[in-house]
Amino acid sequence: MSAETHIKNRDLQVYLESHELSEAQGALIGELFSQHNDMLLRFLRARLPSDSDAHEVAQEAYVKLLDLDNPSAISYLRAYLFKTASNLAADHLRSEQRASHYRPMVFFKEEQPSEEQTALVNEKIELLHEFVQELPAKCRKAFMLSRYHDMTTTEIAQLMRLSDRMVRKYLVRATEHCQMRLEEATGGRR
Amino acid sequence: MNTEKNSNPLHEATQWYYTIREPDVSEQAIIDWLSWTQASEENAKAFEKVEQLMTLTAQVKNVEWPDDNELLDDDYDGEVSVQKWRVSQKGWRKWVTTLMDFNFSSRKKLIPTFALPAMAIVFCIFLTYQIPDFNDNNITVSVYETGSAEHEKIVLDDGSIITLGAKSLISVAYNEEQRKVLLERGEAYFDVAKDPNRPFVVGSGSRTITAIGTEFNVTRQVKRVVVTVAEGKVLVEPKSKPSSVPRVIKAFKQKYGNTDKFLVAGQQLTYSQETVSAVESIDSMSATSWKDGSLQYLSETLSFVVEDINRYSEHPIRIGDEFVGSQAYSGTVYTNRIENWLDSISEAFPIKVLAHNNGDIVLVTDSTKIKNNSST
Repeated sequence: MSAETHIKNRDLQVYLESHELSEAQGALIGELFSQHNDMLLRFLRARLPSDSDAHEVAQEAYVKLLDLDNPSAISYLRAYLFKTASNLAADHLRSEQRASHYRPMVFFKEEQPSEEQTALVNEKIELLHEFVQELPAKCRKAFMLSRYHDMTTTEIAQLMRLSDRMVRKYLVRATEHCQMRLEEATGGRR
Repeated sequence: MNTEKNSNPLHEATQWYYTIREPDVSEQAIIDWLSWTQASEENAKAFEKVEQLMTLTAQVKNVEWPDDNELLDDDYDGEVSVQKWRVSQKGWRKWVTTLMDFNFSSRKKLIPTFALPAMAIVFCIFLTYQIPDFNDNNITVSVYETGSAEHEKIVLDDGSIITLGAKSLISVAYNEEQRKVLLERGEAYFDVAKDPNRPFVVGSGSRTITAIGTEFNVTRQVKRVVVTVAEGKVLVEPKSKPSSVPRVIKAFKQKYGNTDKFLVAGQQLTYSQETVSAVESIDSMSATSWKDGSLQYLSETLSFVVEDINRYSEHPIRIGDEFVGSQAYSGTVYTNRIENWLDSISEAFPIKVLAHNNGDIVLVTDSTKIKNNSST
């Protein structure tokens, strides 16, 4: 466990204590946090527009877990955590005002990127513009609807009169193309 | 999940990315995804990469939507990678147009352009397709691709031999009038069989290289292309000019065109999208020794050296800062002993070699060494 996770975990610990949970309950959720937090954030980043949205929803999901009357098996909790997060992410996208009920950033600290990192990111975005433009017409349209209009595979399939399977194939190919071209252009550097 | 033929971590990661994005993703799918990411370090890394990429693509602005004609014309069905499809498209349109320019200019208008991409394309280990018979004159186009640290020797029908370097991609179009090769990326050494009636033309980046019977090397990097001649003569000229046979002969007679450059054995030329270098003399052995596993350089900037090495290195090497990239390197890199090379540059230059925890190797300036040097 890295030092960073350890600190975040301590923040959670403080949070748990302030909510007067039983020791067992706190320990259980603490364990869940330390083992699955990275993956939960990955899961949410795939579904939400930004990092801070992912953090916000993850936090909400943990708080929901705290409300459970009798959390027991960790395997059950894990599935419950992700499913809860999944539902919350959907709500989050739906709600127009994204103001959280919870104080944001209790568990998570956001790092400010350095100027150099920002420049690197901008360079990559510029390259990616070109790579997306290279995609075959239908593949590009599907990818753009997914990326820039938050449409699901099914919605895109209906709009473009294609099968779900084909849309999915286009999205995967488009993503792989961008990844491959980016690696080629940057020589594997991040 | 793995219905696709080519299952590699990146492909699987991309599949998973779209699976867990679905709004109604099942608990079982989430659990399967979790165990997939936990199954290997490689899987976890691949997923992270995809996710980072997608965060970036979300920030790309002003991509043009395809218009209706493009959508109607598009026959891409996702069976092969977009890159392979693009090469075949390019190859296809390019060869067809060139062929028509050569032989069938009177028929040009008779062939509807939308019919071209709709014709069948067959892919195998490399890809081969035939342009239909307009004039009892089939043209065969083959595409060859090599992986990391892989070389491939291709013997063509006329006896010409192409040695393809690592991580390289070429397409070869042959018929009775012409021999055309497109170097999309990487490096290739051409040993061309003599045939004065059928020039051998290599397209790469902004220019074409025409040879009639000679040996030469072409390296394509992201920002430039380097041509080195080992034997005979080649002509390097801008791509936009159609390099028909009469043109080549005229150019041979003129000898000095505006931006056309003649290269003979022992000479090298570097060009980019906009610029062309002067012709330089070089020991051509050094530019072709990669075939035997050694990359040789004479005061070459490290950024270009590293770009070459990355086609052989198991772990990607990244240039950490500008100072490192601009260092001039002279020496030999053995592609099977890249670790030794990394050791040697940290001694020869004020450079630190860092191993990133994702396996990448990063070269950064070692400022303590610079201070030491200046004080001694």
